[in-house]
Amino acid sequence: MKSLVFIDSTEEGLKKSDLDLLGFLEESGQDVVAVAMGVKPNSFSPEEVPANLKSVFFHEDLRHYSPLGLAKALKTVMEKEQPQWVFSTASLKTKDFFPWLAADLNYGFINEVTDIKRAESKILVTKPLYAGKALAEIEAEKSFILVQANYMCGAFKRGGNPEELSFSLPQNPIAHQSFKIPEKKSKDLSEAEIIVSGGRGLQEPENFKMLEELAGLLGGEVGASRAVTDAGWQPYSRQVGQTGKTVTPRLYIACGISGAIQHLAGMQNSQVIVAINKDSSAPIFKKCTYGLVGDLFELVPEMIKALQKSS
Amino acid sequence: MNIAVPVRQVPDTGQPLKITDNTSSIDESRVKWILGPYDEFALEEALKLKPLLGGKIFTLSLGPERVKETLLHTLALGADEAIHINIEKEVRDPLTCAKILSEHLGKIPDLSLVFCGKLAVDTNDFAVPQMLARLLDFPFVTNVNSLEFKEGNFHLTRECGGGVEELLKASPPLVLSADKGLNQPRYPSLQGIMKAKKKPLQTVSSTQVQDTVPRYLNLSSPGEKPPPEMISGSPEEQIKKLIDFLKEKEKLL
Repeated sequence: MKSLVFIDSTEEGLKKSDLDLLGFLEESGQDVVAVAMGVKPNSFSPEEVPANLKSVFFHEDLRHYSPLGLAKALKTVMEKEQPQWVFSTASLKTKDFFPWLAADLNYGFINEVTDIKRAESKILVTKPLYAGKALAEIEAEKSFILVQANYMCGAFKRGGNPEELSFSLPQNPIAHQSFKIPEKKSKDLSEAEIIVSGGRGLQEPENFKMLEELAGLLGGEVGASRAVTDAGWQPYSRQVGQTGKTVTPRLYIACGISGAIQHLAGMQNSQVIVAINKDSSAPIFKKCTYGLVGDLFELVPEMIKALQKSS
Repeated sequence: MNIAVPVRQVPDTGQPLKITDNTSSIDESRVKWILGPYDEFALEEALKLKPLLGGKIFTLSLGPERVKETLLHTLALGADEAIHINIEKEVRDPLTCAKILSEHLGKIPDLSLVFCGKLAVDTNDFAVPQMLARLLDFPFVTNVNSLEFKEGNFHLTRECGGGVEELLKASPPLVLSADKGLNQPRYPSLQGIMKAKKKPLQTVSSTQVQDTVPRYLNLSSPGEKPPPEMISGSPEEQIKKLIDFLKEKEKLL
C-alpha cells in the first residue's frame, strides 16, 4: 500500500522538512512517491530532485495561497497514485487545506504526529493530546497525516525525473486583497530549526533586540511566551504555547520563561531545550535538556560574544 | 442571517490529568471543564456581528451530559439558542465531529456564518472548521485575526506564517475560524447568567456513525524526560560549557 508525500515548493526550493520526511519514509521501507506543488523554485537542479518525486505542479498563482487550488491539484495526483496515506509536515498551509480534502475524499486526518510505526497493512501513529499530558496511539487507514517538523528525518534518494502537471486553478470564492509583510520577514515558528524565546524575565520589550541578535547568529527565529504577547511586546504570530504555536525545533532556548504548562505544551517536543532563568525552582528546569541558573542579562550577551568569536 | 458557533468543551490546561486504567480515556473525576479558548474568540466575534447581520446565534456542542454546562455558559455570554448533541463517548476524530456537527448545522434555517475556534486545545487538531466548510459546501477562511463587516462583505485578515498577513474579502455564507488577537472575549454578566436559564437549550441525538477511521486505540503517559544537565559556574564558564555541549554532543552548532 502506497504513501504519497506532499512537498511544498517556494522560490527558495523544495521545503527541507518535507524532503526529510520523504527520506524517513524511504528509509523505513515504505512504498512511497512524492509530489511537489507551489511556486517553481528559482533553481531546480536535476541531481537534487528526489528519485521518488513523480510529479510537480507549479503555478504562478500559488504565490497567493489557494486552498482549493492545492486541494484540486493534490486530488488529481491522488486519483492517479491511489495512496492509502498522504503525508506532509504540519504547516499553516497543509493544516489548512488537508482537512478540507480529507472531508472531500472521506479520508481520516491526523495532525501533529510525533511517531509513525508500520504494522502489516496498517500504520500506527502517535500524537500528543491534552497539552502533551497524554499520548494517543491511532490506527490510520486511508488518512492524511501531518507530522511535526524536524521529527522524522532521513536522506532521500536522488535522481528523479518528475512529470510536470498543468491545469487551471479553480476560481477562489474568497478574494485576495493584499499581503501585509512585516519589515523583517521571518520563517514560521512551527517550521524553524532553532528558536530563541523570551518571557517576562526580559523585563522590557526593547530587550528582545538581544534575542534577535542571538537568533540571528544561530540562524534561528525569535519566539515569545504568552505573558509577553499579551503585553504587546511581541506579535501573536511569535507566541509559543497552547494558545500560540506548537513548535518542534532542533534547538529551543528559553530565556526568562518560567515554563507554565500552557507554554510547555507548545515546545516540550523540541529536540534540545536550553533553559536560562534566574529562579532555580522554575518549572522549565524540569523539561529542559540543559539548564543555566543565572541572570539572562549576563548569559545572553556572553553567548552572543562567544558565537561572534567562533564565527 | 443566523450565525452558528460550534464549541468544544475541553479540560482546563493548568491541571494535571490521569489516564484511566483501561487506557481508553482520561480520568474525568477531577477534571475542570472549560469552553475552548479559541471558541471564546469565535463566540465573541459572533456576538459583535449579530447586530450587523441580524438573526440569532446558535451554539452547538457534542458530548455527554456535562457539555450542557459549557453550552449554558455560551448562553450566558449572549448566544440565543444552544443545541446539545448527546453522545456518551468521547469523540476525538475531527472528521467524525464535523459529520455530526454538519448534520445539525444543516437544520439551522438561513445559516449565513459558521464561526469556529481555529483548533481544539485537547486534540490540537486544526481541522473541524475546514471539514465543515466542505460538508456544508461553504467557502472558508482559517486563522482569522481581524474582521470587519461592511456593505455585505467580510474584510478579513489571516496570519499565513512568519508574521505575514493576508487581507481577504468574502461574502456569506462562510465558515471562519478564529485566531488569538481577533478580540478580547467578554465575561458573562450576572444578568446574562440569569437570562441564560430561560433560553432554549435542546438535547438532540446523532444518527451519524460514531466508529470511523482513524481509530484511537489507547492513551499513555509520556515518558519522564531524563533529568537536565545543570550547568554551573561563572556566566562565562556556563556559556562555554553550553556551547561545547551543543557542538560536541548535540552536533547543533
